[in-house]
Amino acid sequence: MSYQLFLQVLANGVFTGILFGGIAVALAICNLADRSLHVAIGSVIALISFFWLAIVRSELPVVFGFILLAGIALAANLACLAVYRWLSRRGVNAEGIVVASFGLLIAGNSALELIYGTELESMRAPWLQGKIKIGGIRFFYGDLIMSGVVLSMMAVLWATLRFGGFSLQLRSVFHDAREAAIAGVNIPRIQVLAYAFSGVLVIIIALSIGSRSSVHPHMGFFPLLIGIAALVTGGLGSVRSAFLSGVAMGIIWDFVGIYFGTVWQFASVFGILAVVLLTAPEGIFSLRIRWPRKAAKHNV
Amino acid sequence: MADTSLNAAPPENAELQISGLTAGYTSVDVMRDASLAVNPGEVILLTGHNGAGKSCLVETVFGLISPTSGTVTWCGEDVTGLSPRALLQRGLVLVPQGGGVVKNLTVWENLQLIAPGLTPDRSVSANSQANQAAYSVLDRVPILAERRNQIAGSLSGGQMRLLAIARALIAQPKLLIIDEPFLGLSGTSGDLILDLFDEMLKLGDRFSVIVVEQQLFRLTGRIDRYYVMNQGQIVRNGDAEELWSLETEELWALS
Repeated sequence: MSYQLFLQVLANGVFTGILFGGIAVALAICNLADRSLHVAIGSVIALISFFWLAIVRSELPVVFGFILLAGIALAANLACLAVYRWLSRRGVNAEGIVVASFGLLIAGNSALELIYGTELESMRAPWLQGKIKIGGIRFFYGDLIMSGVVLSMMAVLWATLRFGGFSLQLRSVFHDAREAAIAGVNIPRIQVLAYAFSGVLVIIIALSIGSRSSVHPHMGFFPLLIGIAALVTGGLGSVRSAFLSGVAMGIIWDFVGIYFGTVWQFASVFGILAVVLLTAPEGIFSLRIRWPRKAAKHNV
Repeated sequence: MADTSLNAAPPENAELQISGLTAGYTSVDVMRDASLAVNPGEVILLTGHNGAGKSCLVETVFGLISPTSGTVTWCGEDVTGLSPRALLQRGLVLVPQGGGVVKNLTVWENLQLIAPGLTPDRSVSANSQANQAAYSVLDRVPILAERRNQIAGSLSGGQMRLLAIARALIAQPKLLIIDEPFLGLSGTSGDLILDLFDEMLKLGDRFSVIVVEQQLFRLTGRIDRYYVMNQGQIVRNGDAEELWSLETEELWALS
């Protein structure tokens, strides 16, 4: 492998990793808020992509289209949250809610299949599919935009968690929702914010996946699996771990695809997951379940 | 003289009034038709055998369990079924049985959870009011200040209970509900809790207390009135003097 190709694969791997990391973060933030595994996000990815196609066909202005997509993503995610909360109030435990989320995923994908059929469609977003070459390495606009948006959202999330009381409340809800409620934490508000953030993140993920491959009802399923693997590998309860793990998996994914062939990509990701579960079941990054913070200076 | 009727008429100036409350876990009613009243500044003992429905009663009052019937009135406002957060904003604070802390957070983070304005530097003026209230409590429990960076789950049972009560006090309650503060604690740890309890009662004119407890001897001379629950119902209530005048065997039989 030439040096140039190595750099190209590395660049592609980083972009793929940011995409996987974005999915893992979208899952992680919901998991922090209600302990669920919001796998129905796979269906939300496909839903957004199809709505994007509809917006393009109707020739709506792009800005209006994005506002519409944001509304759809928020509505879809918050509808899922409403279902989880309803089930939770009826005594269904976290495992039961994961099963329900899979049910929503399958139902959502099936509904899209009934409406749009199973044909593959192109994303029809030329501004995502153009490319530039820098130093012999090719960069797709879609990858650059997606990475910029995901990293910006990560920065916003980091600032929110680092400088506000939100981090403490989120962690308290994750560790012990009952005690958090007794301490006065507004759990519904925390959950709505987490699912809303996740929904906005899913928009750019959906457009990116669609522009990389094609739009079809099950397009969110395989990226979702990688996102889950990244989330568990990094360690549940940490947004940072989910993101870093996703980036690492993306790089491995692209290198394995080039060195050993694409048939080994899933095997490599889930092989790593299996090794992590056997050796460090809490996740490789879960030494501290929090964002990095300066040690508080106490004067008691 | 003891009032042993099931639903004695509550005092007219009651701050908290619970009337005909029925609730339970899942579909089973654990507590039925419970009525109880707390006057301003009173310390009320709620006792009874295991499974009598004491915890169910206080958890229902605090919005952790939805009642199937009955009402909870706080300072004249119907607060039945309100969320714990809404009740906390009205001055009701619960220290639940065996809990009251998030074990994965540090001692300091547990305190900050209920008092977001709390800063690690007591001289910070921006949050002086919150800080003053918090530090006046922390000064009474120096062990918490010493262990502020320790994960709460790694504290001993007694220290964890101290943290839970301190956290509740920092919230500046108008009504403090403590469920089994001495449960599972050894003599020394129990004494630490008792010391804090006594410190707390010195502030008693500022807030009312409902203490759920089976170890009645711990509370001798510390309560104003009592209620006894049995099989989900309040079966007896009366003044503290009447309770302490009972024979030891009778006291044991109550709790």
